[in-house]
Amino acid sequence: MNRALRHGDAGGRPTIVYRIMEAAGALAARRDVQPPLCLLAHLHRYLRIFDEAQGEVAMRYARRAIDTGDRPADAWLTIGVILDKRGHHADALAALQRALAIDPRHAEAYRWAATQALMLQDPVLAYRMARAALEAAPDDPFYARPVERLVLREFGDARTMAALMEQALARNPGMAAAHEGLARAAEALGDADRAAGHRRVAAELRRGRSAR
Amino acid sequence: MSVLDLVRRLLRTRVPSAAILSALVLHFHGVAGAYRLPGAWYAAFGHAGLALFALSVLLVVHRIATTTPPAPLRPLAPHGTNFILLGAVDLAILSLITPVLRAAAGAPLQDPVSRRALESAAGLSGLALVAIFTIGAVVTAWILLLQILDATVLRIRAVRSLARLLDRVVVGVLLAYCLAGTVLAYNGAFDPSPPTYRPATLRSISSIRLPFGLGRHASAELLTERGVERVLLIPARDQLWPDSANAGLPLRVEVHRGLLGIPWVQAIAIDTRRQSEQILEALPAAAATRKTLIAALVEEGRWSDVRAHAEAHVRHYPGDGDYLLSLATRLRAAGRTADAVALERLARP
Repeated sequence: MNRALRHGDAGGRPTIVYRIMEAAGALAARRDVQPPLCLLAHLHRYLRIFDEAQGEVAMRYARRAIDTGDRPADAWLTIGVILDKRGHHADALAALQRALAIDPRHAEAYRWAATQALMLQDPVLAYRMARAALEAAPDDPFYARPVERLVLREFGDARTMAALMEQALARNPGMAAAHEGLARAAEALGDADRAAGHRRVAAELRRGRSAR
Repeated sequence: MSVLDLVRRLLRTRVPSAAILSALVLHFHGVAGAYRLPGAWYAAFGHAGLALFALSVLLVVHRIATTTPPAPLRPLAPHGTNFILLGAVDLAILSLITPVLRAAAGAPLQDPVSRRALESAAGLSGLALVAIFTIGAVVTAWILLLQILDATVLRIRAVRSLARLLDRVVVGVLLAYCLAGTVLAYNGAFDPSPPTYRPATLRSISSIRLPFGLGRHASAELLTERGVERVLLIPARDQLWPDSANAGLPLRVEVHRGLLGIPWVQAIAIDTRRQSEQILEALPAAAATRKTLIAALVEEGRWSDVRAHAEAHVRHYPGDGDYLLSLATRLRAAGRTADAVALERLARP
């Protein structure tokens, strides 16, 4: 489900939707123990993609999760995402900042906060949030892309982009996305040889991963 | 009959005069936005326009329901209220039968007028249908209320006098609103003054969501050289709207002096120069941002700043000599030979 949410592929496999509906129903119906409120909020957030009314259900579960202390940072994230989908970007940013106040290492909350900052025409905040997301999850190539979009494509800052990708590679030399980002930064700086070198490494890493 | 006579006649008739007043209130509501003044009271004035328009529509309905019709229509008089009621109910019904109209519009009709009417009715958006339903429902409720009042409390003479007084007070308030709108229109429409640009920073945006999806009225609190000012927002002219701007956003407010000396706001835009400076504070090597800033500085003729930023750019990107040379050409054309020579030296070390 998380993979589908990350890559905008929700609904690609209809069976996933049915499984999530089944799981949400089964979890909500449990009477023996306290239902996992934050997980239910997350499941209904996914179902909202197909039925807008599920957004309100997700919000209700998320609020209950916050009240009972069930992963409140994730619950605030769910609220932030639902508010974003409704176009309430200022409120969404406020919800995501609540999530970050609880868990300052929450990469996904930083990423969504960067999205809200862009919607609110605040590029500096968007950069800070996108960078913080990458720093909070340095091994996750998913967070390299928003940084590149802003730093390299929007601001044209190849130097900072190169520095950030070098930091990511120092932590995880096997991150193909960082090699690719570094290749694009090197190209923008006019260093074609370095760019070709990083492209080659990235291609080898991806080939090795698909062979495994 | 002269135009003045015609106006006098119109003003003496209860229904057309109320209808004209209602149309004028709507017009001046638009004028209030077009030639807006800065100030919290003015934002309230803008919001009040819509409430007054709704009031004026109720006034028209009230007058239609209580008027004495012209001689040829007098035989129908007892049914006058029913006609309005049916019209209002039809409006409400229209929103319910739209799917049927949509199917009917697909039929091969010969008459282009009927076909066009059906297509238009079938093509009404959800928002328009909600608005039509709302207007129909409100008018129906208003007429029913008038009928109940007519049969009960309005039989008392004192209450009838009070109702007449209320009618005059409403007309007076609507006229005052139109008069204020006329002054604003005169102040803005005939204003020959060139625009002046005031720097401002966004503090907050507040909005009122109108019922039944009829839109939103928003105003922004801006921090300017004169202190904190509130300005009514117009989505078509301003780069600001709720949920599209964060506090701290640098802005440029385009202000005109006004023919009567009442300054009015034409537009609010993002100050790209100051925003670029903010980005460069966080990312000094942001080449695209610095080039945008340099372009803005060239437009403003701030040549010393152009040179300073060009020098900063080349410190981060020493290989971008062509760009420096193009700037040197601009500087030379502007008579800044010393600055141009300095940049040419940097471009060809």
